[in-house]
This record gives sequence, structure tokens and C-alpha cells, in this order.
Amino acid sequence: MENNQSKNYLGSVNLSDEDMEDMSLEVSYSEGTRLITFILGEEKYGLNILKVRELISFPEGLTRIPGMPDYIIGMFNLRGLVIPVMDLREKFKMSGEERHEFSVIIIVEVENKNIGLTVDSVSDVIFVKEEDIQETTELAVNVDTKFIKGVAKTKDEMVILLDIDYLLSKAEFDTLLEEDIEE
Amino acid sequence: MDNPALEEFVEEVEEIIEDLEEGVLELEVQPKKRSLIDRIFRDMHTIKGGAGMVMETELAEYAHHFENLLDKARNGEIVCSPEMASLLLSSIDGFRSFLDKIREGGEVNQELIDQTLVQLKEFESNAGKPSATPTAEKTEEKKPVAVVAKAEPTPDKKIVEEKSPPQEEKTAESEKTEEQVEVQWDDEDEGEETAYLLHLKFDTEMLRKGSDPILLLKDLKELGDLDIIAHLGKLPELKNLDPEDIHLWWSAKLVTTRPAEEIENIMIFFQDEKNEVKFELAETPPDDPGLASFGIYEDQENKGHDNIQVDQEEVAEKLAEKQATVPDAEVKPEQIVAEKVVEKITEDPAIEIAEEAVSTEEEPKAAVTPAPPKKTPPKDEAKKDTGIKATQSIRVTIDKLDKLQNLVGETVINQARLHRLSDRIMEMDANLGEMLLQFVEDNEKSVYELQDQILQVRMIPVGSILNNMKRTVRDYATRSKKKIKLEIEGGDTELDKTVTEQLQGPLVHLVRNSMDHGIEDSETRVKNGKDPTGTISLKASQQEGYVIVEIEDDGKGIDPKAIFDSAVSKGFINDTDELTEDEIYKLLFLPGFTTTSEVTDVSGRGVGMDTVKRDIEALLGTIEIKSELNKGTSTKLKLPLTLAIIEGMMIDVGNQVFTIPLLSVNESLRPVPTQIKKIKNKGELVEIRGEYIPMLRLHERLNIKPKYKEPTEGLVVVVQHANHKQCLFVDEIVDQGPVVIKSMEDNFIQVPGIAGATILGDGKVSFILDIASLVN
Repeated sequence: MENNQSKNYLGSVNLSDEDMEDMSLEVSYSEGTRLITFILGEEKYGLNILKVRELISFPEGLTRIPGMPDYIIGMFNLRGLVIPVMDLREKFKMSGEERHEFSVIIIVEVENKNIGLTVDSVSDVIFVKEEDIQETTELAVNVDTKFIKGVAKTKDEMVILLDIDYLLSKAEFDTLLEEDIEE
Repeated sequence: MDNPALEEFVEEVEEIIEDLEEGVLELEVQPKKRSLIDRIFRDMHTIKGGAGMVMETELAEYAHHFENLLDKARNGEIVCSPEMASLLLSSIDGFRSFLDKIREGGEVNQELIDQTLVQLKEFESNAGKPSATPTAEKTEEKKPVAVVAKAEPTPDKKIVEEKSPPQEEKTAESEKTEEQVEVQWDDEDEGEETAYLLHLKFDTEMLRKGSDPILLLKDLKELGDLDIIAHLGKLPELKNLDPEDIHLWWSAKLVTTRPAEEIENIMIFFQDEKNEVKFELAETPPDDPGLASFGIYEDQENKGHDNIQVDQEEVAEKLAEKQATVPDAEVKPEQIVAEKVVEKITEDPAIEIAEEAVSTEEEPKAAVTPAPPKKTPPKDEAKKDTGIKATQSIRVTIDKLDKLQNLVGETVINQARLHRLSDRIMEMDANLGEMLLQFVEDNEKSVYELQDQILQVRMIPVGSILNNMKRTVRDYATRSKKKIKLEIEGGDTELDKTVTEQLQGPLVHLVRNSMDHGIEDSETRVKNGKDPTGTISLKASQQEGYVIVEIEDDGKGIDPKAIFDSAVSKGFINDTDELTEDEIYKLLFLPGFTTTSEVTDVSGRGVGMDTVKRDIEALLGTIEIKSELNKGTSTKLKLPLTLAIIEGMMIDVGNQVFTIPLLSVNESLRPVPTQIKKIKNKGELVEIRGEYIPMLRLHERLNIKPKYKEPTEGLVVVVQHANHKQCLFVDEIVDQGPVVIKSMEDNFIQVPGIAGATILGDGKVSFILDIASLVN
């Protein structure tokens, strides 16, 4: 669908050659996804841009939620909405160093819920074709593979696709409460 | 359901069904009321038409069958009987089933549909035969009726079916038919309606003597349909006006089934040399009961002629336009009150943004009112007319309102920030600070007004759910042998939509309890010297920022001793315990207390009262039972106007601010060491005025590093949930004030121990503690 939009876009606006080159990928293929990519640890991850509501810098006042595991680092006020923030490094049990002050929060919308995800930095918006996505579950990555949808290969890099719907699903959230009980 | 047209249709039909249900219930009581049959017919017709338009052909067909039945009733071929009312009511259940199907997919309850259609068929074929009609008298009357109706059915029917404009003609015609039909419809009816014209002029000094005309008007209103018109002619100019004098006088038309003596009995208290209080039989026949009609033109009124005869004629011409046509400026407070008394409860369940009538639209209508005789349309019609013109409304989804409310909440918080900012600027530059402060304060007013208004928009009258009880009571009374009357008061009291909706369940429960365990059967009641018909009354009112809903019955009441005994036998209390009556009634709410049949038999009440209590508490309300043996039981619900805002106490634990609903807070104190007792296996207790209350170290429960390690350094907040008290050890109390509640589930999950979140003045999130779970 986005692809159609971009076609319309091309039809009505004069773009520079550079732009055209960027877009050429999109114009020539009918199926595909636009991803927002970000850095987490040493790897590059991507998630469907349609899930992303906005990007913000790390908020000033984050309030810890009692009884929640460490990777739920708290809730904050985003223009009147009370939104939880999940630390992806913590969630994926990556070695963490100094982070929060410089990290970015991606606000995603899943199942009508707005949730913030901390990442080291946001890098790019890319377009990947369907056939470039490998739905592999056996990857040599640091992340638990159940949160991974696959890998997208672009011209010069590899992007790990996060299964954001699963990561932030109700079922997954419900385990928060169980973990709490185990504690 | 993605189809907006269908969605709109469902919403519309839902509203119509409610009107229909109420109409049928009324018709059951007043089966010969023509305007009611018309109203029900119209409703049915609208459903049929709408269903056809959205291609719900089955539904349209279903409605068509009942429309036919009603058409026969309109033509006098069928007299509305209790069976017909039951039939119509089950058709309403049928409609609901159709709506469920449309809304959620799946199947309609075909069994129900078929069953009602079979019943309909049976009813129709029986109604054709004389033998089916309940009384012999009626059947004899029936045949001529049919003849009369057939003699001139065409003009009547045709005109009624034309949608709207030529109403005057229509009513002129239909009235005629109606009178004829009516006369022969039901002469066994002892409660024939009579119309009286009342003339009420009072001593100017009356108010000073401690009496008030409104009292008389209220009493008269009890007797039947009362239309009042205030005469303003004697009003002096403003500068000469003494507010303690009575300058107004009133004409009224009373249509009642009660004998004239009753009017006399009321008026007698007001009849003295200086008051002119009298009544006479209206010369015109009473028409339809709703038809009372008269009015006065402003201009003539101002000339101040006091020929009452003339007034009454004008009166008869005018009330078509209803009371509201008198321009506001000239309405005296008394009259407003009088109109309020007459006003019926608003019943629109949907949230609507209502604009007050654009007065320019109303006024010319009043002024232009033609003097020549114009037959008055039935009151119901007139009401509907003015209703539509008086308020313009649009339908808004609750989602949009929620969003709006969120934004407003955010603005309020920003306003607080702005305030702090202006303080800081003041420190640096007094002049600039002053200017900014001025602006901030101006802005603050608008922001709070905005917040207030947005809350107002969410308010709907509780009448919608109180009226739903009519059906509940009617169905129960039909099934059981009890006679029960339902009285509703204060249906126009407004409450947040969410609260109103969630009140329905508990209310049904309480009303059922009253019918089931409270009201006795007629025989027992007579034996005990009571009216054979039991009364359940639902009263809603607003008191000090809360809405009070009372459910009262005049049944057998609950014996406190019986409760006490069964509580002892269940082991809830010891038989040596001394409880006040209030405390005893509170036992009814204990979960488990009520589940045994033994207890309900003895106490005569209480199945699932703990559920009711929980539901009410979820709405941040309270519940209270009072009862007197053999006199009845009264349950009082106290509910906040809105769920969105509560009064909160902000407390600090290890530099994190939490909010406690002020409703749950009893007191706070810093205990001295001797007050704190440690008991093995029971943890810590705090002794407060002889009472030992368990203490929870909040920081331990919340897993936070506190500022103070001992309660003697910090504070103890005593909270209460149900009958349980609990001390919460906190560092300090930070603040107190209204907080906007945000659901945790909106963007996250329900977290144990936390009831919700709120945003503090500094923009930070604070969690609202779930006292119920902390206490237990």
C-alpha cells in the first residue's frame, strides 16, 4: 500500500536525481515493507514503520512500576497518555553499559496500546522487498529467537526484524505478572 | 460492523426500542390512550422503514407483522389487553436479538422470533372472535366499535401515515374518530378522565406569610396531567418590583381521573378571603388526556386584562405551542419551577451535546402564532416537536470524548507548569513576571472552565436506566402473584455515562431483591394492614458533588436479629459481640454471608449483595442499607459524578509519589514507639485510641528504599476498605487534591496493587494505590 502511495507521490512531484535513486527501489517492486532501523548493542534491528507512532528522547521523569521486572523501566506522561517503557537491552539480556541518557525511545502502537522501547540509536528508514526477507528462526543473534520474525538483507547490510506484535502481545505481557509471582 | 449506515441504524433502533418499551408499559395501564397507540405504531413503523433501508429484510418483515397488529388497534379493531402488551414486549426482545445479530454477527434467536410470531398469530385470530376478549361487556362493545372505525378509517389512517407536516388537520380528524371510538371503547372504565380549568390568584402578601403557591401546584400535579400558564400582566416595572410580593397568577388545566372532591380538598388550604382559588369543569370534553391546551399571548398579556373567560379561550387555542414559548426574560422564577414540575424525565441514553434552543428560532414562532382557531395536536406530538427544535444535538462516540478529555487534562497540567514558570520569571524580572502571571491567571480560568465543560458533556440523565426498571418490575409482577408499583423520581439527575451504564447491573439486582424478598404477596400485605400493592421507589438526586440513588420498598424489611444470629452461626462474629444496627446491616455485604439459603430465608434478602457492593465500589461509590421490620428496606447508593476525577492524597515513599483515593483515608498520624506492637505471625499493629490496626510497610510491599525506616520517623496513614482498616507506613504526605484517573490497561496491563495512574502537577506519573488489595 505504501508503495502505491509513493507512486502517486512520484507522479505529482519533481524529485531530484538523488531522490529518484532512493526511490527507485520502491517504484520497481510492488510488494514490500518500509522499516525503521535502529541499533541495539552491535546489531541493527528493524521494525515496520507503520507500527511506529513517534520517536522521542529519553523522558525526564520516569516512574517505576512496583512489582514489574527490570526491563519495564517505568511509565511516563506523553501529552496526557500514560505510557510504559520497555528497555530492549534489558529485555534481551544484552550486556548493558551507560545508556539511558543517550538512548532514544521509539513509541510503537500494538493492539491499540502505545508502548515505548528504548534503543541505542535510530539509524534509518529503509524499504525492503518481500523476497529479501528471510524467515529464518535459526540465527546467530543475541536475542531470543521467538521475538525475531526474520532477517532482511539490503544492499550492504543485514537487519534483524523484530516481531513486535509478539513482543508486546497480551500473552507476553501477562507473563510479567507471573514473573512477579515467582519473585 | 464496519458499515456506518448500519451502525447508525442500530443506534437509532436501540433508542426507538426504549421508547417503544416505555410506550407499551404505559399502554398496559392506559389501554385506551390513543396517543400511546399512535406513538407505538410510529416507533414500529420507523423500525420497519429503517430496516428496509439497510437491507435487513428479516427485521423489516418482523416489524411489519407487529405494525399490522398496531394498525388494527389504532382502528379500534382490537382493544389493547395485557396479552397484547406482553406480546409487544416480547417483540421488543425479538428486536433486541436482531440488533445483537447485526452488531456482533452470528444468528438471531430464531426460536424467540418464531415463538413471538406464533403468539402474534394466535392473538390476532383470537382477537377477531368475541370469545377471546376478557370481559363480556367489552365484547359487546367491540362490534360497534369496529363498525365505527370502518365507517371512516380512510381519512384517519391516510393522514396519520403521511409523515409529518399537516399535523393540525390530522389531529382534528383523528380526534374526531377517536372520540367516537373512545366513547364506545371502554365505558366500564371507572377512571374516566375529566378536565378542569383552574383559576389561581393569590394574596400578594402570601409569601411573607410562609405559604407558597408552588406547594399547591405540586399537589395538583399529583392528581393528573397539569398544564399551567402564568399570567404576567400584573408584573410591575422592575424598579417597583418587590421580590417578596406575588405578582403572578395562574391558569391551569387539569385532566384527571380523580373525583372533584380531591381537587377541592387540596384547594381548601388555600382558599381564604384574599386568595382567589377556584376550579370549574372545562366546557370542552377532556379530549385525549394529553390534550390540555391553552395559552396567552405576550402582548395581550402585557395589557393586563383580567377577563378570565377570554384567557381561557386563548388558552385553548394556544398550548399547541407548549409552555416553552414564553421568552425567558419574562419568566418569573416561580413559573420556571412550575414548568420543571410538569417536565418529564429526559430519556435519551446516548450522550448528546445539546445546544440550548436558539432563541431567535423559538421567539418568532411564539409571536406569529395565529389567533384563528387551530386545533391542538396531541400533547405528545407537541412535545416531540418542541423537543426537536429546542435542542440541537449531535451524536459523538465516547472515544472522541475520551481523547478530548485527555487533551484537556494535559492542558490543565501544563497550566500548572506555566504557573511555576511565571513564579521563576517573577524572581528574575518583576515586571515581566507580573505580565506573565496576569496572562497565566486569565488562561487558568478558561482551562478550568474547559475541564468542567468537558465533564458536563459526558453526563447523561440516570432516568434512562431507572426507566429500564419498569420492564423488570412489570415482568416480575406478571410472573409472581405480587402486585408491585414502581415509582421513579429525579430521573433527570445527571451522571457520567460510564457510571450510569455500570450502575444498571447493581440496580437490577437491588430492585429484584426488593421484589423477591422485600415485597410480600397481596394477602400478607392486607393482613398486615398495608396497601395490597407494594411500592418500590427509585429516587435519584444530587448532593454535595455526589449522586444519591435510593432504592426503597415498603415490604417486610430485614430483622437485624436474624442477621446477627446467622452471622454468629456462620462464624463471622461471636455472639458476645455488640454491634450497632448499622454494623449489623453491613454484615449483609460480607462475601459468603449471603450464599447460604438459610440466611436468605431468614434475612429475606441479600443474594449476592457482596457483588453489588463490589460493583458500586468499583464505581468509587458507597452503599448503605437501612431497614425497619414490616415497614420496608432502603438501600442508598452514593456515587461520584464522574469516574474520571477523584480526590487524592499524594504520599511519598522513597522519593516516589503515590496517590491514595481520599475516600479511603481515615486519618494520618506519626505514632509514638509505644503505639507499635509486634505480634508473632500477625506482623505489626498500631494502637490507635484503643484499637489495634495492622500496619503495612508500604516501601516493603512496593520494593522501594524508603527515607525513614521506622514509622515513628515517618507517618502512618490509616485507610479503610469495607470493614477493614489498615495502617500504611509512608515517608510523608506531599499534597492533596483532585487527580485525573488514567487506566493502566489503556497502554499496559492491570498491575496488582495499583488501581490506576495519574499525572501530577510536575508532569510526572503517579500510581494510584489499590486500597482494596492492600488491605486484604
